[in-house]
Amino acid sequence: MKSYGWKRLLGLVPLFLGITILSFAVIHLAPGGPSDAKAAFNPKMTAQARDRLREIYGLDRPLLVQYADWVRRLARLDFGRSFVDGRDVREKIAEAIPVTLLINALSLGLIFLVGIPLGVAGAVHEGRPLDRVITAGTLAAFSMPAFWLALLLISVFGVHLRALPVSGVHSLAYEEMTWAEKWVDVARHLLLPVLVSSLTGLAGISRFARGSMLDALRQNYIRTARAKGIPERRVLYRHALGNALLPIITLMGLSVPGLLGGSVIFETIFSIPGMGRLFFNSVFTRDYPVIMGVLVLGAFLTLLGNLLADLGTAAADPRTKTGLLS
Amino acid sequence: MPDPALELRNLSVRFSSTTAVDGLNFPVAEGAFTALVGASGSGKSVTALAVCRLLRGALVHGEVWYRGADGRRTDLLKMDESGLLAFRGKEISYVFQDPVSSLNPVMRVGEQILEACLAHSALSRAEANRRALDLLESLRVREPARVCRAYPHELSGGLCQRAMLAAALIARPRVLIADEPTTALDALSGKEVLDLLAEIREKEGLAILFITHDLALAERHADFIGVMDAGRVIEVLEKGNGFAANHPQTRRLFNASLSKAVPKTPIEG
Ligand SMILES: Nc1ncnc2c1ncn2[C@@H]1O[C@H](COP(=O)(O)OP(=O)(O)OP(=O)(O)O)[C@@H](O)[C@H]1O
Ligand SMILES: [Mg+2]
Repeated sequence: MKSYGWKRLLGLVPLFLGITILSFAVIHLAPGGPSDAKAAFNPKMTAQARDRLREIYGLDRPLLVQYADWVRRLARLDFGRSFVDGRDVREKIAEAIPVTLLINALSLGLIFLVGIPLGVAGAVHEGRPLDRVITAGTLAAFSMPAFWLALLLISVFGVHLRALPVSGVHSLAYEEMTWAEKWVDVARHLLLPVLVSSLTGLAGISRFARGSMLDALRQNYIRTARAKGIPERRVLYRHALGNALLPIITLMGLSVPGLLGGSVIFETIFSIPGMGRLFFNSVFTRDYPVIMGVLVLGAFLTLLGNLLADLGTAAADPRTKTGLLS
Repeated sequence: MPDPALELRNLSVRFSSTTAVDGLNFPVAEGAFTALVGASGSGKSVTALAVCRLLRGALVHGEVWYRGADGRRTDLLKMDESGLLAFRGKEISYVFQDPVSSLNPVMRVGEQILEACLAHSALSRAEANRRALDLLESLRVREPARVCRAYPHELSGGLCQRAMLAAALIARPRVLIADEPTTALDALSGKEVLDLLAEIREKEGLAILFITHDLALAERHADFIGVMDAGRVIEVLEKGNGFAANHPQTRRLFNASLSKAVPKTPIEG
């Protein structure tokens, strides 16, 4: 099992480099560049000044040389400095991560902790009123544009009822608050963003869990279990759910990269200074080091998530173990 | 015929589109080996599952009388859910056709064998475990402990079917319904499983309802053979009079299975 994990991990290295090459090429070959972005807002920028900027950024060198240089620094976990404000990219990312991570971890938790039971309940009561209500609810949630819902919630809870704050992560008076007050403050600020950003995923997972559970309930071993006269609870939650959860474990692993991927739309609507806005702004200003930094992090997490999904499924499904050991 | 342990009366099973069983009458004799034979699609499996109400999405009518050890008779089709739960696996248990898919792939085989015992008796886990190992041994499983620890995919079809048998027998039921338990196995393991069934019946005195489409197989082991066609039992043959058949459809089945016990008569109609 262990050696399998290491082998898989090593196999990811070329994949990872491939992704960076592709991202690097696409970003650098795309029309426009950091100097253009600066020039666009500065009519006095001359052609010479622009060339000097390109020289300072090292953009005048061949792409291959630039990439080699970038990889050399990456090996030391150095993502370079932002073209826009000269700050270390790691610092900028580290600033944006906590709030994004917090929101995403909370919404992922919500997605799985609520979505799976909803789907399973639907499958267990297939065709009966409870299933109909859950199905209707999840389909409505799934097809509702999340940004529209965000605006609706802001208008209802923030503007009309004045019950919840609608922007930022904490209040102005945050620093003077006690420990408990800070918790409540952040919770109140994050309630709507977490709700909105988990809604689509929650509906999706619940549909998936329902299908997976129904699938398990149709299997022969369920009939065997029923024929034994064991409690229906055990048939459902030990026999059927034990099998239905396997594909969901894969899904959990695949959602790991989502932890750090901020949504530009929600972060803009709720004024949250997270990864989504950082990435959006860096693309807008062609801030190559920041773009690459965020992409590398995303690629790393995606590959890691895939690996976790495989290892998790392998650990949970006895049928894969023998294959792994040999 | 001894008193029936199980008597199906005027049983009908309807699915939304078809009628699978249509006014079937059939007794399963106490402590005997009874076979139910019939062509594919004649309704054997549906009949078997209807006994313990294991069919989903089916309309079941008629009566299924069960005679308990104390002589009391109950109609299983009128029993409430909790009564039924206490009944399944304890009084009547099942073995199905495909042993590998009939076992839960993510649960250890031993755990699956124990389930009925833990649900229906006051035995502790350790005692139940002991009984499972003994039972496997009496089913001629060479390494019972290893089989208990294994997952179904790690065992051969024959071993899986013995595990299924153990799971069905562990709560000491009075009736065992085996729906083509040998069809998915190779000839040798199939024969072994069938011999085991016959042996268990002698030893434990339980009634066996053995479902097959192989008449020759039924003849070799059964005391009674119900012949099924289009959702009905058209004839019950007895070992006592050499399984003499009268119904033309029965003869057709016999001829098709190349049985030697019954003299071949020209097929009418
Ligand atoms: N769940 C179901 N829904 C609808 N029709 C069904 C269902 N189960 C069985 N049937 C139908 O009932 C009839 C009898 O099926 P059954 O499985 O009892 O046949 P069988 O005698 O066991 O055949 P085989 O030897 O192939 O196992 C068939 O026509 C089948 O299509
Ligand atoms: Mg059948």
